[in-house]
Amino acid sequence: MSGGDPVRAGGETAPAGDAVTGDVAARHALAIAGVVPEAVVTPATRAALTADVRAAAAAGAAVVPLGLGAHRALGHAPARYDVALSTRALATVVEYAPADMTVTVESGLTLAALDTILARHGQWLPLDPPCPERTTVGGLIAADLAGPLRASQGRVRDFVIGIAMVTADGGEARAGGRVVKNVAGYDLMKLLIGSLGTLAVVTEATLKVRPRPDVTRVLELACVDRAAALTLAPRLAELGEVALAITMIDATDVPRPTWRCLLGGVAADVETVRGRLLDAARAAGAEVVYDGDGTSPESGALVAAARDLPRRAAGDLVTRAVALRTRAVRVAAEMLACVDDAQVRACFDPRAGTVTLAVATADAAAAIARLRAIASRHEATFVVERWPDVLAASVEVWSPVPRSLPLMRRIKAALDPAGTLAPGRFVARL
Amino acid sequence: MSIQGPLGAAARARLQRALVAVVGADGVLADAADLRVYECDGYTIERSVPALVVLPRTTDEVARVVRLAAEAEVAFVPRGAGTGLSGGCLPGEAPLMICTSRMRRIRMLDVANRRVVAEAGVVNATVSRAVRDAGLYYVPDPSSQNACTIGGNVAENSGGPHTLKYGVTTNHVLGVELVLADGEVVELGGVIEDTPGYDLTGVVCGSEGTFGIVTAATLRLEPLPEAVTTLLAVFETVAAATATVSRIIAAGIVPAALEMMDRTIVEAIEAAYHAGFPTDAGAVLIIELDGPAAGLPALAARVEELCRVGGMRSVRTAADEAERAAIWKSRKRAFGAVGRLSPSYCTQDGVVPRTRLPEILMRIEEIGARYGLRIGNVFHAGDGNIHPVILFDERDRAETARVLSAGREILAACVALGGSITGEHGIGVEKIRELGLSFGPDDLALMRRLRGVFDPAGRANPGKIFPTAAGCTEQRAPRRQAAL
Amino acid sequence: MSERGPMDAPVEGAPLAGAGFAPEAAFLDCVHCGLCHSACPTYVELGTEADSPRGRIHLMHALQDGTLPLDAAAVQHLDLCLGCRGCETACPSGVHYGALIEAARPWIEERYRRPVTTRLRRGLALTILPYPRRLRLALAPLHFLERLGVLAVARTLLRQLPARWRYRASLLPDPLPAPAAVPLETPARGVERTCVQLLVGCVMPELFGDTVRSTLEVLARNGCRILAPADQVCCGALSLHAGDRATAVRLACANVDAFEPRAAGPAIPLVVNASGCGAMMKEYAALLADEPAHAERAARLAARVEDATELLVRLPLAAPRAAAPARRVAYHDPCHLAHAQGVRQPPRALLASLPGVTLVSMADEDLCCGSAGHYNVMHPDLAARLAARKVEAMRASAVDVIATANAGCALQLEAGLRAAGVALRVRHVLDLLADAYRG
Repeated sequence: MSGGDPVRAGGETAPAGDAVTGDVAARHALAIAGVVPEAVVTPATRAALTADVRAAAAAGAAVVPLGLGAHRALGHAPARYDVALSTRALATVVEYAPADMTVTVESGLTLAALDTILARHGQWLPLDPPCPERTTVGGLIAADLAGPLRASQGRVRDFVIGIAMVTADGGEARAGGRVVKNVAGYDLMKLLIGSLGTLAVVTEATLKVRPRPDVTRVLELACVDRAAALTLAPRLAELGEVALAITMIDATDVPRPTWRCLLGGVAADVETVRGRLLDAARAAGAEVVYDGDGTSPESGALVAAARDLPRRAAGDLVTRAVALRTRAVRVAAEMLACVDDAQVRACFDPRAGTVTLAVATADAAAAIARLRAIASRHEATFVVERWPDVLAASVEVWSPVPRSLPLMRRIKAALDPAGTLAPGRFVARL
Repeated sequence: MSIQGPLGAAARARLQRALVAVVGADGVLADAADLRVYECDGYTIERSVPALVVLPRTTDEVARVVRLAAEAEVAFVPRGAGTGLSGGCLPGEAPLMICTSRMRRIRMLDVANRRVVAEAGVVNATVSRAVRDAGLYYVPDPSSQNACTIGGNVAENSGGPHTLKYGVTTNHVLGVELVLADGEVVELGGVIEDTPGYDLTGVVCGSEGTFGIVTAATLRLEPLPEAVTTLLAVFETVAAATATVSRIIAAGIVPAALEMMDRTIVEAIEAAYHAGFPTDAGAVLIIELDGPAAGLPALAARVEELCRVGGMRSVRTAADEAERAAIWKSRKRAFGAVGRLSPSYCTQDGVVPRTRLPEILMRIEEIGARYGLRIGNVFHAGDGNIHPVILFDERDRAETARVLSAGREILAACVALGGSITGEHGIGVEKIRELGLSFGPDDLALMRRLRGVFDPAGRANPGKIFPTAAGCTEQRAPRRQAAL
Repeated sequence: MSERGPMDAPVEGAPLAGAGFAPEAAFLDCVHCGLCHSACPTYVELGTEADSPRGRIHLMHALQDGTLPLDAAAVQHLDLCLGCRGCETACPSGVHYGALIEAARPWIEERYRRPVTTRLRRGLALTILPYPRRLRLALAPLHFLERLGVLAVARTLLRQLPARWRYRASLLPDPLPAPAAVPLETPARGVERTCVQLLVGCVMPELFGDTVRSTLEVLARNGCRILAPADQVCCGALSLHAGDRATAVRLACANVDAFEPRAAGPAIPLVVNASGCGAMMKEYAALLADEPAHAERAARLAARVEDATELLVRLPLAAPRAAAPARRVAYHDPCHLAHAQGVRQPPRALLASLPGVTLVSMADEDLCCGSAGHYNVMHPDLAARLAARKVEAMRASAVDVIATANAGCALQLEAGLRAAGVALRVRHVLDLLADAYRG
């Protein structure tokens, strides 16, 4: 429930158990790029959600599906935004069979809540976007979120094996299933991952999960300067699967650039890789400022800080570039140099080739242009994950524009002909 | 020469001339003998002969061929090596077969970034061989990897024994070059994982040629594991072996591969390959662990202990790469060995949640008993992907009918246990009728709508996955089928 | 296909089906899995299903069933089979492909009339090659020219020929070694450890005299007394592969008689230094199963047949004379040794034991080179393409010497190397051994 008195929006009758609010604060809380929805609808059941979408489609209203809205800054401003449809009340664990290493959940369950459940059986979903307590499974899928674990553990597309959805016309459909290997029918999971709610509302997902590592360890290496830190990148990138996460953190308010490394696996392997890591640090003259068991609260805080850094930053410009391994260091160096005059917090993952920057700058448009030019020169993809609202009309969120854009347009037109779902939010304002 | 499909003699001659102009005379097959051999793939129960087969060498040729087909309003069927097991490249309603077997170039090999761009006709194992010296490999390894092509792998989203830890084809394909049914060439995805837009690469994987023809794919390579240990664990009963599978997973261990074979299969393998499998055992597990060298011995010891707790009779660890290769060779060629036990056999492909393996095996045994059929089992236990092998004699018509019924019952049982009707073979023509067990009309309608985006006229591999009104294939008795 | 002529036609009134050439079950053994594809040189080169083992089995089945006319297209695909039997190694189901294609060939010869040029070429090859005296007569002028030093000049002239003929001409060994005369008995050098019989063969002494001399020398140095029975004839393989089963049976019977031990005693090895002949003689039992006078003796003979490399690795090998310069050597598997006889390790072990030799692996080392008996004479286009593929692999392996254990393969590989302008020698394992002894 998003608070306020439940009222029926536009005289529509929603099924019992629905929470609909026209409350100003609640609506503003889910504004996207300055666009405020007319109503916030929080269906209590899947049947209610289906009915809500059907009603909206019938009324020609535009619906933006959301979880808790933590990642709603990603994507263009909606062309129309009548209803913020939150799945937050749909948070049931439908089925969890630990020995099958699969879990089926409703899409409004948060990653933090899911993790608590999985942890009881020594398992985890090794996807670690920022702010897990405010990130729902549906949001994870729709925004294709990732974190520092990505290079070693994979992406959302590697974990979703089944899906239930409500289509733009208010129909219900499923794809995939609950087993880890399944080639029956088209893989519509892939279509919905990263689609930002423009094709369907995800209501349920079956996920592969993995055993938590036996042993984890967190190390932090501080380097004298940025150049020294970047020199270490190639060696750290070769540490293998035991190095679960390797993140370079460089920020205006941090005295020295650091490498934060999460190791995990069986004890002997963790010890071996820890040895290699320490050797690398020694050879590069980096100082080991932290070396602790991964289960300790301090370790947890360090891991969480690396994960959340881009979102917790003060600035309102966040960008992410993904480059090929061989070019990642140069992309990181050039991007950092290019925003050196501003307040910056940066994360760099040399294996995934990801460079994430949070920048507080007066001229965001200019910074975006410079950063995009660097990405383009190195054939990296570039996403403006958050930008000042004033840029809503002009910003191009994704680049390069995919060559298959016409096909994507046709898909949107076929699956949501009336433009009911998140109109204008996606690539090329689809 | 009898012409199959909806293509008259004059239209066929016209199309043939036009195709020759694109690919040359040696790229178009039109003689009876040349065409006959394309009447089926690894799924031999249904057959139909294409009217023409064309063998383009480049994407541009494929595009021009497809445009000619579109102008002539002729449907086409893509084919790689023809090792599929669900009739995915059966001509059926499509008179024109487009075969990628001459598109065998590796276009780009980027060792530093662990990427390779392979044309559709490149054989799966060729990719790994090409990069082995650089310490890399292409992970998906279907049993037919020495013959099957990358294009076919993408179309079918192929699996293999090592999917438990590493995933299937779709988890290793970063981009595809696709020729749509109107001849347009589209590039989906690419060398970078996060290309903006919908993940159309992911949607094309497993679409069985119904979205067009994949002409090349960008694949991710992985470093060869630092160390590998392969165990052969022997159990008195299938139940004890499957319970052990669950125990290993529950202990938080994810082996690279976890395969099971029952006594029937072990007997056949041993008769054929003499790899040292005990023929009096109820079941054998092949457990492969890989990863960093330091931790592997302790991990192997834990697995052995779990097996012992589960009632394992004995265990053998492959001493070297040669012994490991011998074990895998036996496993991957198990189906061939089964041919020595029975004049005919039929392989099914179903999936259950791995904890339900004991139940599905009991159901299979019960179904076999009820139909009076001998059924062997060899499967990817770690994935819950079963391959019951039904032994019979195709000359016995009544028995043959019972085989078909038993196969359907097994698939229905998989679905009832929360599983799927196919884990890696695909729907093709074989399981069109069973697709309804997994999906309702609304689900299928949505999938068809997506298909309509890629191929509005329905000219790319019609008659597969979804039932259509037309159909001109000849149904035969189920025969031996290479699978697993 | 390129070599199909306009005069191809089924024999008038010949039955399409009628008596089959193989039992139905032999076809059912093939589960249509396609795993044979990558082991088939013609499929790898052409990418056409009808030129794959699975496709050919499909065709043979349809021909026997009478559901496919025996026409030029069908015959062409079966003709293009090299008979290398690489598919049998790859086949998980144990299909006896070699037996099927060999049964199909005479069946086709009875029912199908080939164009006149093909018949002439085949006729010529089959009338001369299996008969040493005829072959000697045919080659005499060439040997004469070689001695005069004129052959080298002739070779340069041959380069002006059309591609197909140029390729055929390039198959002549260069330089052409003097023919070998094999004595009825060659004593062991030093202590005699064992006594063996040797198949001299038809083509070997005429075209590959050096290798024959090497065989005698290496065997003798390793304590073998070598008997070469006088009445022996061609093993019959060339005739059988060409579909002339009657001649093959006649030749095999003659050999069974010729190699019959004079006196009772322990069975002595019958050594063969050409892999096609070895494979053939190991299968005499099946070939002569219906010959009452020879069937049983054929089985006994077959059991004694060994490739020279098989025999040598069993012996305590005499040490080579001197240290040799370091060489990287790759080994090409002759099909009839690796696939038909399953002999892969012995030649490699012999090579690895030579001083200075580092044995390296090479891509497709067990893929047929395209030599395949008289295949390179009948299908020069495809044979040249197969050779070119091998040349690429040889070049990529960056070795100093290519070794093989069959003279025909060496000839084909050298022709390919010459055509590509690659300066790389191909040597028979026995020649390399003999060199090592000679120092």
